[in-house]
Amino acid sequence: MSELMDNARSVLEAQDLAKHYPVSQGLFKPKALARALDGVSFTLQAGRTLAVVGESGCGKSTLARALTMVELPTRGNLLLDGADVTNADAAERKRLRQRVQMVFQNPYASLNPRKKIGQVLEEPLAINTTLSPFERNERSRAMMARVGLRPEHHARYPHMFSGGQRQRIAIARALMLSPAIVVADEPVSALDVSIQAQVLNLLMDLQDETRVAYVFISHNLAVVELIADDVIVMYLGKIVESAPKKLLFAAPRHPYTRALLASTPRIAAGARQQRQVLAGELPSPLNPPSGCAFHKRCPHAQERCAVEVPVLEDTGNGQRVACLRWREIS
Amino acid sequence: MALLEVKDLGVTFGAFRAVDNVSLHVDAGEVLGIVGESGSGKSVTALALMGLIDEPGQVNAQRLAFDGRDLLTMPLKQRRQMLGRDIAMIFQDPMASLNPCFTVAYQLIETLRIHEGGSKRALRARALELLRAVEIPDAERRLDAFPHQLSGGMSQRVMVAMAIACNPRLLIADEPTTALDVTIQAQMLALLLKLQRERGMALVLITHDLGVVAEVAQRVLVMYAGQVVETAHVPAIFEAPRHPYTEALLSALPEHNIGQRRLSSMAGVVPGAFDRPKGCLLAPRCRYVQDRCHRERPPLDGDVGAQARCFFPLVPADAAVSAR
Repeated sequence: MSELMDNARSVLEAQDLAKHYPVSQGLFKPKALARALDGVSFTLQAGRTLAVVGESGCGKSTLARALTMVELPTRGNLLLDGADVTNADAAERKRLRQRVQMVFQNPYASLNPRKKIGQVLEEPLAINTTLSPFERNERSRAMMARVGLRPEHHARYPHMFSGGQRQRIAIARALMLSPAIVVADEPVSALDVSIQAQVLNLLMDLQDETRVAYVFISHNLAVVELIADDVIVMYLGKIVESAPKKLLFAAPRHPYTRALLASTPRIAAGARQQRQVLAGELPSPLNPPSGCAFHKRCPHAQERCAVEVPVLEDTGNGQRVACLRWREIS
Repeated sequence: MALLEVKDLGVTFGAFRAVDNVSLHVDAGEVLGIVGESGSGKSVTALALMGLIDEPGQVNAQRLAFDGRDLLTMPLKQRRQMLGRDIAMIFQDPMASLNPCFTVAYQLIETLRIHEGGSKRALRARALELLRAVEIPDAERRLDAFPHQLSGGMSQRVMVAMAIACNPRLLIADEPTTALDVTIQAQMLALLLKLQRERGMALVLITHDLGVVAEVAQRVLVMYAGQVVETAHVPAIFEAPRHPYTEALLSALPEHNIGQRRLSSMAGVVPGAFDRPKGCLLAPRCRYVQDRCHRERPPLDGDVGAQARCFFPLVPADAAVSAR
């Protein structure tokens, strides 16, 4: 990463993070291991946005679960505010959990339909702080104003809101404890274009105000290009490329990143790249291909790609790429 | 003569007009895109064309004709024969559109048996041929697979195979790629276009993704709150939208805001059943709104092929500047 970023305080650091799930194959067969997340490292500074891009099954959501401490990683370390999550005791973990909050994809499923918005927003405070009910009420109303909800919404139920408003509520709920990091898992993909723009603007405004860092998980590269500072591209549990946003979109190195960019439908005919349709689908993480996991779909694959496993290499300008042939193909 | 001709189609659910006087035509072998946000009535329009609106929904139209034959006055039995054979549809969620209890072969053959018939062996051979046509790898083995054994992309290919089984002349695809990943979406669009070209099918592509329309369609219909607000050719509509809604939709796209601090966004939401404005339906959200817009409903105005439902349509020059 660039020098400027090294100097900034990193609020989140993942070192070789991995999460493997044992999967039952049947009564008498040995258990298989799904390597949903397999050795992911990155750092994130306060006030910045890291976008995680990839298709379904690439481990994005497992990463979100590990970062929010819903599940402990199988391997590797996770540092939050400099404190190691993986070795922390229960009290420390409870304290650290407040520092990371999450916004989910589907605002129709992520809000309890039986709770009023006020209750939804105050619950994190009731659980984690010693504030009085009056103070909690005040804070929830202040937060509602900040995300663009009206005071009378305080006593309403989720079903009375549209998708965009619900996502505002979910964002407000995530920010109630003033976290250092918000993990947003596809926060706008369930929303319409005009609503999506409103919610993205809100996320950016809140970041400017609070210096919160976002881990923004998305499959929509157009949204990522707008909101991200840095991007990591994942394929089958591994990072295949990571770079500052400008570099990634201007000069993608990994063939998978290029394919993703070329697959995204564009309006401007000039921005459209030669449509290079990738053959095949994402392989099963239970039975990943040998060598480079991408070699069976890669237009540049050679024999050695099926044997050697590429490691993430620095290209010299803050970009990291995991491809055996990146020098030849760029 | 147009292959499909729809005049003043309306669909009501009780007092709610989900589709409001929609007129459209599809020529043989063309790709028509229908774009709009959720609640704009684009899916209900498609369902009405397919005769899939159930009680309490009411469909009425001045004219609903396919290939010159009036679908409204046609006996129900004849219409049933036509649907699935001459007009086919694929739906958004492939995982939910296949019956989980039957194999791919069974479901494919069911379509073929009803519309064409033939011996068991011939039908199975035809099913295999269809799976190959939609480029499913290892097609023999997939014939006897159950839907849960297929990925999302595979399931959607099976849906396409089923839809093209009887060589339809019109294929309606309702958000065919929304549930799929980008690389799979690219495969699916390429496949649909290839089939459309090879078979000379007309394709109606319903989507909320303007990028998809820009790449695939020849003509676009923009819908808002149950009405058609603009019709235009591609790429003219993207270069110079005439309706303020189209312009706002385009300028809200992240693609058009790269390098800017904030996305240009449109306030408010699509009006629902109970908060319909009296005048133009876009009036509360429109940035060019004037007094007249609050009082009267504008008609769809302009030449065929470039119409806008607006009293004050944008002049191409202004629109081009603000959309960029």
